[in-house]
Amino acid sequence: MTQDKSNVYFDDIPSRPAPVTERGIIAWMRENLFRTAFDTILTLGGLTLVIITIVSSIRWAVTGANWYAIIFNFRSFMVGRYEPELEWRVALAAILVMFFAGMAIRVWVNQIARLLLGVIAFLLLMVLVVPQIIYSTIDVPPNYFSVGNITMTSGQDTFSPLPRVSFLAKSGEIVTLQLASEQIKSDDALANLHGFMDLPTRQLWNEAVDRVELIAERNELEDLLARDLTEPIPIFTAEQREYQLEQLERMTIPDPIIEQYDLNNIVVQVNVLDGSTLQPLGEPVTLTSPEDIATFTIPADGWYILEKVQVSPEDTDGIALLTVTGVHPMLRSLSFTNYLETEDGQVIENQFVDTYVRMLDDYRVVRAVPQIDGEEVPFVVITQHQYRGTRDLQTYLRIYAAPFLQRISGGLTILLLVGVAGYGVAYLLQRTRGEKTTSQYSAWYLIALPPVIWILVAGVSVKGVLNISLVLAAVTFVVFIYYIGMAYGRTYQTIATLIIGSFFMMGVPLIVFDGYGYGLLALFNLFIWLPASIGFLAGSSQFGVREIQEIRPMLLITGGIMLVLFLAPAILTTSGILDTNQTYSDWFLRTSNQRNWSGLLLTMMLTIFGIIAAFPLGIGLALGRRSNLPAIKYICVLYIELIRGSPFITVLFFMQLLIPLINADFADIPNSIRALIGVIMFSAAYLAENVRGGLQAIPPGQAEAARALGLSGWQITMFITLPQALRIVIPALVGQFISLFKDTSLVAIVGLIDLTGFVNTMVIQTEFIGTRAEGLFFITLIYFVFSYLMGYVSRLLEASGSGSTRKL
Amino acid sequence: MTEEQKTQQDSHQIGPPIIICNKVNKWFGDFHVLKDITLEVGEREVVVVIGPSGSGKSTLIRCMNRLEEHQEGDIIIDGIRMGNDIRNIASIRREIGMVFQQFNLFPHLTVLQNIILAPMQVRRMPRAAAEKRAMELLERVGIPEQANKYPGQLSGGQQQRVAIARALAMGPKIMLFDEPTSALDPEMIKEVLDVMKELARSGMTMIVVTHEMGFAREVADRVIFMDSGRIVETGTPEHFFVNPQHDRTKLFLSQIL
Ligand SMILES: Nc1ncnc2c1ncn2[C@@H]1O[C@H](COP(=O)(O)OP(=O)(O)OP(=O)(O)O)[C@@H](O)[C@H]1O
Ligand SMILES: [Mg+2]
Repeated sequence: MTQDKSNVYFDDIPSRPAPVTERGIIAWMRENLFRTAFDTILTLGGLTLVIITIVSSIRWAVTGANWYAIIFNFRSFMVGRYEPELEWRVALAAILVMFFAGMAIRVWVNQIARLLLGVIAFLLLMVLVVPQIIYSTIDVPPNYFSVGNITMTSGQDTFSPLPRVSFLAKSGEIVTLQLASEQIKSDDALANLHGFMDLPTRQLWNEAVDRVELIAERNELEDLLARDLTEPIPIFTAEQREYQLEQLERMTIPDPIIEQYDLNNIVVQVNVLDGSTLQPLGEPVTLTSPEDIATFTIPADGWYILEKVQVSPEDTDGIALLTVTGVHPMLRSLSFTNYLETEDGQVIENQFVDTYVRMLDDYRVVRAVPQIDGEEVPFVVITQHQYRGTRDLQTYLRIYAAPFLQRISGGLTILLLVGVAGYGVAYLLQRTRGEKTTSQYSAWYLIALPPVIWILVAGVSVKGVLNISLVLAAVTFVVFIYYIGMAYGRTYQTIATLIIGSFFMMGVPLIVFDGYGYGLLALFNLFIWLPASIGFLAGSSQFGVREIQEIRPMLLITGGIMLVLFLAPAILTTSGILDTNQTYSDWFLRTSNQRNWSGLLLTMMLTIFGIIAAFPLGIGLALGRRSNLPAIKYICVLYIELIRGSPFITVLFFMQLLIPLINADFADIPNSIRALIGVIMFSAAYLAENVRGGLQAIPPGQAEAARALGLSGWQITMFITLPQALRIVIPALVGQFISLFKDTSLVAIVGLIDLTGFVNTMVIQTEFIGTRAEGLFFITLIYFVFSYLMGYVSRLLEASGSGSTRKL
Repeated sequence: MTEEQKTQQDSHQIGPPIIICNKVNKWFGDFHVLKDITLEVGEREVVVVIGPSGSGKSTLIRCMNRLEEHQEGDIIIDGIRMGNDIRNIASIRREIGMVFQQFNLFPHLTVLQNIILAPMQVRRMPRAAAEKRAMELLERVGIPEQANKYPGQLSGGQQQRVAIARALAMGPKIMLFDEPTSALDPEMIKEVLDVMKELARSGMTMIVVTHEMGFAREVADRVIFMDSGRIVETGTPEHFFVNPQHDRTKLFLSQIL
């Protein structure tokens, strides 16, 4: 054994920086992606899956999808059937929200400001600059128009080239026409044509494509059969060979399409007429060979008519294809105008008008289609004049991406700039008033936001105001009773006050309005005895803790407010000063018809107000479930378990059916509000369980310390346990908020047209049959963007404020 | 005991009883935790309670402010009898401050907010006055500069001193300490004990559950040894450390000293 030696080290060892362990990308990949054979399989497999998914959806989006469905229905996706003349109020609500978002970012999460600035700059670039670049660099794909006297048949339908089509053009644009002989020298060339085609052209193109494909198939089969004989191992069995030979037999290749129709062997005359005067812009141009080019310069914005006729030989059934530029396909949409002065001096006010939209650049007019001999000249409608051929990325960008970006550019730019303005205002406030005040202002703004949004979107009716007044009276009544209990304890007089007061609160709405009318809120008063009794119990359990002199002013204040809120509606209505059915349509926020709420607006209203209303209800249920009073406890347990035990969809259906059963007058409550009630009831139960989980996570020492300090049960809940519990459950609450946002799509099943519901509506429009995939793709994008933003905000919330420094 | 300490102790003459326990009994289910506890604590007296784990020390002092309910016997605090009357409990809690082993500060409130919450909510003190008083108390426990931090940002010793300031903010006549230093690292124990000693010298009535024998020897007027729910032996610190009588006391002291 060695002997222990004692050592003393006097020299200090200076600290050195840690060794650099920089690794290249290859090393990183080897370590993280291909460490073991299994990792490698997973990596490659995962990668393949991702690539397949992404590539195939991009290919579909670029080459196959019909995005006009989205561009054209954009407004419907956003607000649906909401009254167009009130739409500015929805826009204002959105602006207020964006302004708040800007402020909140400055005040609470300033660290992401720079990132956001980048995002905003990128988005502005995308919607303002990119479309312009695309417009100026990528040409609109050509149009192929047919001319001639021919009558074609396809199945049951017969059709022939139109002698005239009308189109929209802007001043300075140039229309060129040329025989397309060079492009259709062979069937192969015809099949490879791509661009917008009218019906007869499309028919030719289809036939050419079919023929080319059939030939290819036949060649392949012949090749196989030949190889079958020469190869040492035969490809087919005898039976198979026989069958294949039969198939070959059946493949009769039609005559070449070009020859069959004798394409482009006629002389064509073209001209462009002004849509209103019907005067030609110039001399007609005769096109005999592909070298002839007809050019027309458009003198002013408006309707024009393209005339194209076969001039010789006069009596044969010829057909020719023309390559045409400067004629854009378009759609007709019925829309509402507040005020519009057309170029011919007509004034259109507050009525629905037909708007004609050039889909490629959103140029719109409301003037009617030109007429000749009292008949509309058919216009180049996009559903008949479709894009055919393999669409490439450039075409995609020019005909879909740029118009879409341009379509959303106005709104998006305003919203983003408002957000930046909110940020700036918060910055200035912080400079002048200090950070704390600014943060307080922002908090007040946030609290004021939901009622303001509701008022803007829904409008204000006299009845609504009176109802709210009564409900507020009921709320102050609860507080009043709380103080009564606290001041005078549980005596016969105080209990009598509770009972008589509750009767008044329940009865007066019934008397004031003939029945409840649209007194949905009055339902609240019907159950006032419940919160009032709880308030009474809570107050009286503290009886004597405080001097009566301290309580008396509170009694007077709440009692006074209660009486005013309670009596004012009664006096104003019974005396006839206010007419309960008046809506102030002319001078005040006119009520919107809630039956019309749809699109993203409906989704948002259901989510925002669902959560906001469910919040107090859920907290109340959570506290109730932990209550010592068995009655309250078991009511809460029953409610929560009942709701959690049934699917959301049944709750929604129940609301549709049950509400009218409660009171016949409630049948007036529109679908959307019934759905909202369902959403509230449903989310309250889940919210309650989340909050209860949070409450349970608070160590008992917290409440003990508070009790030792003399705080009462309510004070402990309000100041100690609930705030901590809510902070703990923020992630769960945001998760619930996000899933509610998506779950609201179920209201489509009870007949509401929310974001999801609108896709079903869209695909029954004749122009957009079969565009369900496009619609789903688009709403998925919307759902994702909003859900992701909410999740991001919640992660910021968790990381900010005292939440991060807490340690129990 | 030095002369100096003697004069100090004389300077806070023990007054008439402010806490009276008479034959207090308590059960947790069938488990008899407190057995016939009879105890009088005078005004300005400092009582240290010692005893093995599970002997009922915490339960005893928690009964004194009704964090636990006793089933038999009387507890009378400053002339008010502890019963089911909520008014009596409220006024007793206003007389008694308590400090816990785990500090139990409110983590979502700053130090200052922790201290002013109860004075404002229970005593209805205006905010300005409450904050002024809170700052005085933080000064007294030696950490005024931490007022705007959150508890999670403080060391254990600092947190416990905040907890003492929070209890003092209600202006209690009596302070209960339940093992205030046993969750602390050794170097932080002293700063907390110093605050408690200063409090004792200022004439506060204190009941302290602790295993800090140095503190008991220096500050306590009386030491109580509990075992299995009953008071086994009481006496002055000298009595305990020089000449304990009961076998269990001897055994216990031999284990911890
Ligand atoms: N809420 C409770 N329910 C049931 N038994 C309890 C409860 N609280 C304490 N006890 C039991 O009562 C006995 C006394 O507990 P108490 O906490 O008063 O002991 P203590 O002397 O403070 O011990 P320690 O030194 O470990 O803190 C212990 O056996 C404990 O298990
Ligand atoms: Mg203990």
